[in-house]
Amino acid sequence: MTDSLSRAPLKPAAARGAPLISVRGISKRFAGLRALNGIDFDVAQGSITSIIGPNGAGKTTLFNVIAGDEPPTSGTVMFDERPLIGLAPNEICRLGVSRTYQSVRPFFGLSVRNNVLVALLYGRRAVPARGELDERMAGILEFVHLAGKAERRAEQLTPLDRKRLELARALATEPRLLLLDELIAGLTPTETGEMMDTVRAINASGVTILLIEHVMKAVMGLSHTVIVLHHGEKIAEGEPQAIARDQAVIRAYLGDAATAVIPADT
Amino acid sequence: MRLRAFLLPGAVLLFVLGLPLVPFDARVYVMQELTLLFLYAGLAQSYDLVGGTLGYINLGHIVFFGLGAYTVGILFNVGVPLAAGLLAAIAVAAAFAAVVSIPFFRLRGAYFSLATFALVKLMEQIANNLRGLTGGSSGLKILAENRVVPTYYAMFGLLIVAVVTTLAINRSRLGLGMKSIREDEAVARDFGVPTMRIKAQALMISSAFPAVLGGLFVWYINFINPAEVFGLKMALQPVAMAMLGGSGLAIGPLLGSTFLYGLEEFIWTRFEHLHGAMLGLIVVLVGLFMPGGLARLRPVERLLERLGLKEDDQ
Repeated sequence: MTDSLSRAPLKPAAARGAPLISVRGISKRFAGLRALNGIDFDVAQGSITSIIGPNGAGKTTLFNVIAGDEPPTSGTVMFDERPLIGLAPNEICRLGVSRTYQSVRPFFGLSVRNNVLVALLYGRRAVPARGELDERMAGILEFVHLAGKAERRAEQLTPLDRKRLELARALATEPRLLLLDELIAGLTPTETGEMMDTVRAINASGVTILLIEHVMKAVMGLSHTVIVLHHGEKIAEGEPQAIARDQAVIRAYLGDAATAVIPADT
Repeated sequence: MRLRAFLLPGAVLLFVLGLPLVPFDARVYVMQELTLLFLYAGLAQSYDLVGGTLGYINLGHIVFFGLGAYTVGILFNVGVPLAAGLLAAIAVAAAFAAVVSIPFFRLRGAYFSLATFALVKLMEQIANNLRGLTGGSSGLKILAENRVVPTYYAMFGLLIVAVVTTLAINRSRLGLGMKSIREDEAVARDFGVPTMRIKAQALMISSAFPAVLGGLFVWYINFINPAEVFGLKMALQPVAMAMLGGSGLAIGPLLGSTFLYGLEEFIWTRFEHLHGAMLGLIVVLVGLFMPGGLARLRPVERLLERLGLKEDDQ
């Protein structure tokens, strides 16, 4: 993994700061099944970090642990030097961690506006003032390309617009860390490009991003760091180009035979 | 546009307020009927804050009615004036709501409904057994007096307060939090909604109305017993009315209670022996073929729109 030092990094390392979130020894068991086993990693302030891995590797479980939706069996998560484990999801949200879901979960019976309004009114430390509220709402809907659809019921939206709505709702909480669970999966190439630009723009505004993704184009194009999970263990971590040549990663995705055909990058 | 919205409510208001002043033979009978309609509508309306806006089907709403009735009845008999008794009833119901919300709101869906329904029967047994306080199964009497007109006005006033409260909550931050819980409680929590606190608040607000209605009821009827105030009919009728009318809309419980109450009177006078079965059949059919309730039927929706009474429920 260290070999990529010779390559030009995607972004100057200096732009990335101290860790915003530190995950240490996180394990999660479900009735004998080890979903996560001693996961350690840091996410640098201001970075985009991807978590990849085959289905069932424990990626979403890891998000659920960070967001407070599932308590881990053991381990700690420090967010900006505050422990998150033991806090309720609504408290974690107000500290500045927000998320989207693998299969979208907007409030289907509510309008686009009210979906975002829940996050604006409840997801932040202080309830914003009336004037600021309308301004923020308009800005967010504009940013995710949902302006003009504010009064539509969420269940009437197309799959792409539902994803945009999830993003809008997450942004409304003014997160410092954004967890994106397969935001790009299922989109057409054009939509993928647009969504990648949106993610980059969010990151450029100072939001640290941790994302789960299967679409390699997105992973390679967006990430400063890639973490690979397999059977609940972290098997690799590094810059995208290095990960693409990592023997353990190739084995996890393609099986042992593949390592014989795909030469190691030494 | 805005003015139009006051047309129908204004007409109803004038009719209801003026009725006791018009001298005609059936006046007292009509007032008594309407008093019961206001009572049921008030119960349905306040039930729907939890059942419709919050999305928790609370089959135990009537528990607060019984608590209010017994609180006012018992206090009245030791010389406490009605107004003070009603305030005490609100306090008792709200405290009870706060306490039961802790275990009950850990349950979801049918489990919550079943638990709240069991609570009704539990309260009935308690009222039966606390003979020294409640008079047990033989009931509680208070000094009889003709209170038709004041009860008529009071029940109507309370119904208006319930409707206005519903409209105000549905537009408020609290109401939005309640709706987000109804849509997806886990997601609501992920986006900062303190779900346990909001559910407790919703139940406490919802409990105040049946508490006062119960107090007015005993003051009006002069007699209550556990089998009646904690009875099956009392418990389920407001729920059926809210659902038939259109749960989650302020107009829903009003439509549902008027419809069901009127229907019951109509059937009762025409099919003396089968009226219970007829009523049940109609409720089942209506429930099967219009799950959104009367208020969400296209023609009704259009009519409400023309009257300027269409609500935004999303």
